[in-house]
Amino acid sequence: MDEQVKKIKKILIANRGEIALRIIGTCRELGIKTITLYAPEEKKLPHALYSDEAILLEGQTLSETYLNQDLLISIAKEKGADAIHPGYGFLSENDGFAKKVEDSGLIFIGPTPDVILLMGDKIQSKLTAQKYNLPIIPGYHGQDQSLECLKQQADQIGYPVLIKASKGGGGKGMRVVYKANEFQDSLDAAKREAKNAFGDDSVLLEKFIEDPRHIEFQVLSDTHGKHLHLYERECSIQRRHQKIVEETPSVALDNSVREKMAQASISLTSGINYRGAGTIEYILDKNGEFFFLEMNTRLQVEHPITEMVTGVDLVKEQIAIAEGRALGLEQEQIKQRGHSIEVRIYAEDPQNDFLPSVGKIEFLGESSLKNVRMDTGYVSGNVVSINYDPMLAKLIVWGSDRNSAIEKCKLALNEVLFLGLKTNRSYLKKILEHQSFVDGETFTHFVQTHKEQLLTEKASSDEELAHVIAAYLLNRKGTKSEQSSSTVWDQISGFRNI
Amino acid sequence: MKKKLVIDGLEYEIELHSQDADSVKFSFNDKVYWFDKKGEELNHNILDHEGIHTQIFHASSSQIPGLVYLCHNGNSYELEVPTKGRVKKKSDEQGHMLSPMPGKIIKVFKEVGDQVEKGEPILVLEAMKMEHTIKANCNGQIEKIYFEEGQLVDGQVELVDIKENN
Repeated sequence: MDEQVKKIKKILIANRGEIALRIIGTCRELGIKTITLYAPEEKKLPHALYSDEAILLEGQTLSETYLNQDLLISIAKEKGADAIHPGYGFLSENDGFAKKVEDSGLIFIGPTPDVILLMGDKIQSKLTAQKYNLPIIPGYHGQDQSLECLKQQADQIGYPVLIKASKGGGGKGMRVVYKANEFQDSLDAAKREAKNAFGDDSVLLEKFIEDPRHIEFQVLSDTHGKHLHLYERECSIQRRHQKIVEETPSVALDNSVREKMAQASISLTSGINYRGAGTIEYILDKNGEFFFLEMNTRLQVEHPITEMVTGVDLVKEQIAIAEGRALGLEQEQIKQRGHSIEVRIYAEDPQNDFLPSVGKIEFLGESSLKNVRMDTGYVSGNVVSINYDPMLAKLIVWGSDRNSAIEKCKLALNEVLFLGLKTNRSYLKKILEHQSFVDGETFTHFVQTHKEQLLTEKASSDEELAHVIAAYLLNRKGTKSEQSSSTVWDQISGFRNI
Repeated sequence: MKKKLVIDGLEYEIELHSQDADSVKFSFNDKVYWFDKKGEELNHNILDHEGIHTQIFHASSSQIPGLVYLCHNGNSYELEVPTKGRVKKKSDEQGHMLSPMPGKIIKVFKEVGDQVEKGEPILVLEAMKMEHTIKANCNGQIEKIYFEEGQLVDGQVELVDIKENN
């Protein structure tokens, strides 16, 4: 065996919920023991039950529990783990934690601390991307605010150009300029607005991206100099900057653009000598031009759709890389087969301004369809509390083509119920049903553009209501026949009061 | 026998003609319906209506007595029998703002005595990593703010009172 390879036998999962369970699943297949963590209120959640060992974290705040770096490392040492998997969120992109883990002699399942630091910095990561020839959104962020300078910069960027207040937000002091001869008027207006709203009229310029899409590339790199990509995911459907529908392949990429983006991604990962699984995020405009946005140096929430079309278990590869093994895959072997969609089910009420919904899951329904995967951190009877993310589950489907994946996803959404809580299931269904979605017009402003149609309330027919009434009546225990007079009804309604 | 049912907060009247363990017959909006329960599992039934099978999921609330959650064709419903004395969920009245959910007060913008306009943010409540801004629901002067920054609040408790301008 290669000297560099260090077999991992036990992993501490420094995370919770569905991602902890996702990691446990692969570890079980690999014969690796797992340790999970839980807060007092989480003792009945599956992530605290389905690992080999679960450690109670005392304390109320995240900094006392899941973000308590020294505590997590000492638990891992004490319990004999060889590695820590950070999942996503929490400490997954904390270079200080990665360093502490490595300094303690444990393996950090992720990139090296210096790469986490480099790619975690908004400015440094863009400069790095530029260094390896990745396109970034052209713009001007300079001090010289003279008309002459700004106009020259705008001409250089190329129209349409977006003028933004440097101190801005909420759309104030923002203008899109489509033609050079409109620049001065728009600049004056933007500066006036900026002055009034923020007391500062300095502006910055950026190329305005028409019909933008969010496209990201999954990458895998080992410690032997092999850098692979596993194609794209399109995550344009977002609400409040939160992805809610993801799919792969993207309808927006033809093979030449796909290949260019793949090459750009590999150029970056080989340039920075990346290690592990990562994601490079791009914005794509309507002409097929793409620009680097950022790199996430960890497993993504939406990684399962890549697994569905490529057949690669990303967590398994992460572990193999962390053990120091060379990737067994070759780039040519990695293909996109069929189409996969993920939707994120949240505990929230779309009809009430997406207010989070908390309470007990009285019944959690599972899908009976083939090629459907649901990653969730809950089972029936669990209580969803206010202390964590409102994501209840990720529903992932695979179809031989995009239309069959859409149809399957709609069907599966009817089955994955969280009775007892309000969820965004019907909102997700309306997105999938929308003609613009079916037509592949998936731009980052999708939910804003189609807001009204996505929020229409259900209109049930009498026959539908009759079905529901019948089910209600037939499930009231203690129900006798109609002759038993109104006292029976009193029993019915009082039944649950005991 | 006529009976009232509440579906998603709206009251409906049905007339129950007959019912036994596996079948039910009732009138609803001037039409008579028969249903047979053909299959029964822990949280779902297969109902037969005029020869067509339908799967319906159900679960009783363990928190609100008498409330049943049902799901048909992917649509969720909440059903209950109207009960006297059961306090309906309070809604915000003019000048009184309630917490829409349990959470933590992370920001208070206003003080007692401040004049506010309808729609103006008064405080921010955080739950499940989401912020929810509580806005004035009328024009007036703030009479009382029940909580300070950092405090935890339950759902449906009073947060702010405003004396409405005449």
